[in-house]
Amino acid sequence: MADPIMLESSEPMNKEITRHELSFVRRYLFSTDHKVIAKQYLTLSLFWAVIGAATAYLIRWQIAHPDTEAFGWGYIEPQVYNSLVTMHGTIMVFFVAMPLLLSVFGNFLIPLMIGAKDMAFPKLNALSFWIFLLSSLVLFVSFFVPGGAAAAGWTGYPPLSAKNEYTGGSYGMDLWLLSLALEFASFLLGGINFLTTTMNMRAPGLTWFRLPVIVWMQLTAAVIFMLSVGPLVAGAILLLMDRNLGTTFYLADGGGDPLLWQHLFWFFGHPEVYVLLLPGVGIILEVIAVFARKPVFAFRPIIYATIVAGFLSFIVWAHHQYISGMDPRLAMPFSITTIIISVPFALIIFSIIATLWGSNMSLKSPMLFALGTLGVFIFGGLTGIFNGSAPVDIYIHDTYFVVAHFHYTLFSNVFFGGFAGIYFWFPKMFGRMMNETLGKIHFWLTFLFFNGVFIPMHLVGLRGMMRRIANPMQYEFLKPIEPLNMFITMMAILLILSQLVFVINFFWSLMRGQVAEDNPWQSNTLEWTTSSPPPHENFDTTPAVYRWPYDYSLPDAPADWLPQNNSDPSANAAER
Amino acid sequence: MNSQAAAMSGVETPVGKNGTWWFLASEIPIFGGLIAAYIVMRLGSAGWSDASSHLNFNIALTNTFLLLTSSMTIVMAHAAVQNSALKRGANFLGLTILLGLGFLGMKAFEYGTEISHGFLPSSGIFWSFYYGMTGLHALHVLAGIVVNVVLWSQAVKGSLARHPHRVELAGLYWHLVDIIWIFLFPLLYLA
Amino acid sequence: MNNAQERHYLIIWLWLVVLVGISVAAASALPKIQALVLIFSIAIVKALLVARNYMHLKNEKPIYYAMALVPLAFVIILLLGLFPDFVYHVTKP
Repeated sequence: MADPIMLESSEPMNKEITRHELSFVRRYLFSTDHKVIAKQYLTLSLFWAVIGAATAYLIRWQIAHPDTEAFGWGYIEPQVYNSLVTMHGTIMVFFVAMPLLLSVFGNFLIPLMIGAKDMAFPKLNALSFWIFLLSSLVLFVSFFVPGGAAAAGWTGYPPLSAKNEYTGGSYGMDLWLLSLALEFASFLLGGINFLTTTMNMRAPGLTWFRLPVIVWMQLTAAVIFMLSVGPLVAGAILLLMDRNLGTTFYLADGGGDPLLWQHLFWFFGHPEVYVLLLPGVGIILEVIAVFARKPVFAFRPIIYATIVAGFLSFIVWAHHQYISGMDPRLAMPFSITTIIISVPFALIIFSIIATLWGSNMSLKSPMLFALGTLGVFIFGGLTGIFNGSAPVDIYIHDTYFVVAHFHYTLFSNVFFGGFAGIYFWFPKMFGRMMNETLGKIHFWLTFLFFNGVFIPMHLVGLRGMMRRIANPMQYEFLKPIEPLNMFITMMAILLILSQLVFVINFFWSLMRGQVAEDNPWQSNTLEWTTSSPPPHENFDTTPAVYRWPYDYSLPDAPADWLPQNNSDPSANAAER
Repeated sequence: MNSQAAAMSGVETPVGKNGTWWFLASEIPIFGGLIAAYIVMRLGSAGWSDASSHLNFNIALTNTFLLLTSSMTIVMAHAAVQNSALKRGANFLGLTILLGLGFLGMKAFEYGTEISHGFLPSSGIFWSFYYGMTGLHALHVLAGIVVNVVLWSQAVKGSLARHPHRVELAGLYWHLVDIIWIFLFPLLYLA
Repeated sequence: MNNAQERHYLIIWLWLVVLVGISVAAASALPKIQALVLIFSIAIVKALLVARNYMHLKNEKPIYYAMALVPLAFVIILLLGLFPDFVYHVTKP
């Protein structure tokens, strides 16, 4: 029986509280505890990351050594190559990035950071995971059906995606659509949980502007996702109808228009990249504040800029369609809005840099990854300006320049940012410290090889190499860049192999890592006020909050950090 | 509902209502996207009036009344349950369910006659949109009916007294479904 | 049994029915453009009646209006963005 003193409210005793009596199945598989659910998402997203990396390896092999047998796999047929390219994008965006950045960190951190026992709707939270697992199964199965996995690009443009005879596939595409529909449902439900929990369950004293930045970022991402995914759901229904009911929404010979899909897809697709970006930015801001021992610079402007960027993200979508055959008069307005959206993000980036300025940095692994995220993302953001301007984009669209651009912006947030978050919150999640030396090795190898892969890729793109082609050597004008492609492939293989350092570190630390104290990083946010890992229901008593999260290195304070539940009146809060 | 949430509510509105409104907010772009696509394609076409003239206006008008009335009955159910008149609430919920089933029944009959006249989703882009939009809407009506049935049975058994606010939440969803029809009806049948 | 509340809901229902009637009449009585403008204006009014009275929006905090209106605003942006390609047919022969 649970100790009654532990119960904060007068809710009746139920099975959830006497956790030690729960079976393995109830405790780990069908748990409604947000921390367990976060770990379930972590497991699944890391599993998909391995598969996504495998697709990347095969793609790079084929490009560098076309029509040879890939080591460990065999010959890659052109149709299979199309599936690989499609599934690499689909897996990395929807089955690695989304769950890792949003579900893992959002689920784990939000209740803890606001001083709550769990999410507002714990059972719905569990359901969200199980729907996501179902969508994963559907996608996984699609590899093995006749005709193979979807092969129309992660963007699924019709008529390629609408007519099976164009890709040679069949069920794979329908399963792809079904899997995404399930996944969207899962994330919609998750977003509802994040938003309602934060609106209703903040600890006493925790006003909106005392929330850690990452919570703001997760919420904005949830809202952006929620409001943008609808048209794509509609579009997917239309595509399913075209594929299965003989309709012609996207087929010109029936009076439809393929461009309709593009608009519906990118209306979601562009806000989606900010859904991915914002949690990454949130993670690195938290990490940087802690390891620079400085308050987040321009905290409120960052939040306002984030919301403004969220709005703007809905009016830039056609910059993905400059050469699609859409009305050319749309090119200028969308170029303008695209340039404008770089302003709030520039504000955020400059604020991060200002946070670092003059600080006494401690370069532990989480910090290295956070700094790596920042540097890599800035580089990617700069190439985004080229892509966003129609005159330049007409030349570089559908080349590897774009691929290089989005890997800089995405990989930075998903992997560098994700690793920063994992290294930082691993002690809280699992009660053990990760090995610092292995962490540093992992960072430098990843950083080195990542740039080794993607810097030359800009050149490859500018030389004119098109996306998604299985054999560049068919084209005379691409033969001179064959050495570059081979170099990139070699770097990619080394990049993938470097991740073994992380895998070893992760599992070794889980089992044998140094036991973590409550607050090994001396961080101010509320999750660090409870044990590592936190008990079921998180806090012995609901914390009361007296300050914002970033009272680091205050001149007249007793210590260089002041947790949010610290009520010492002699330490003036730095919040503004 | 998480009881800590109830105890700690930062805003006066309970968690369930917040969650339901966020859910509705996410449904609006789904139907909105579908309707926007329909509007622009129709405006850009010759008008599709030949195709739309084959729709059964009377059935749709009846359905409009059924749905409007069901919107009223479900909010009456909510008012009754709020005033602890569970039996009255159950009766209104039952009416709502019957009206919803009536809507679906008429829709099924309508589809039946259209299909027997050879108007399938593949019969042209107007029909594709018609079946897509009304089909998705009908699925939402069905889901709403299922929820209402669950609540009705709880009202009859008396267990609804533990969470009476759920009728309001179900009502919010049901009203959204009604509002979507408020726009689908003129878009398809009156334009 | 709160008769005032129920009466209020009934009155709203009556308005809704009347508005449906006017829409239907307009479809046959008015020329095309005027009819469409009137019909869709009425649809908006009906939606507002349901939202404000049946969904109790008029008694709720502004945040709920925002939850309904912001997605709608984005849908309208999408709609406008689609006009050049599908309504004006610039790129089609």
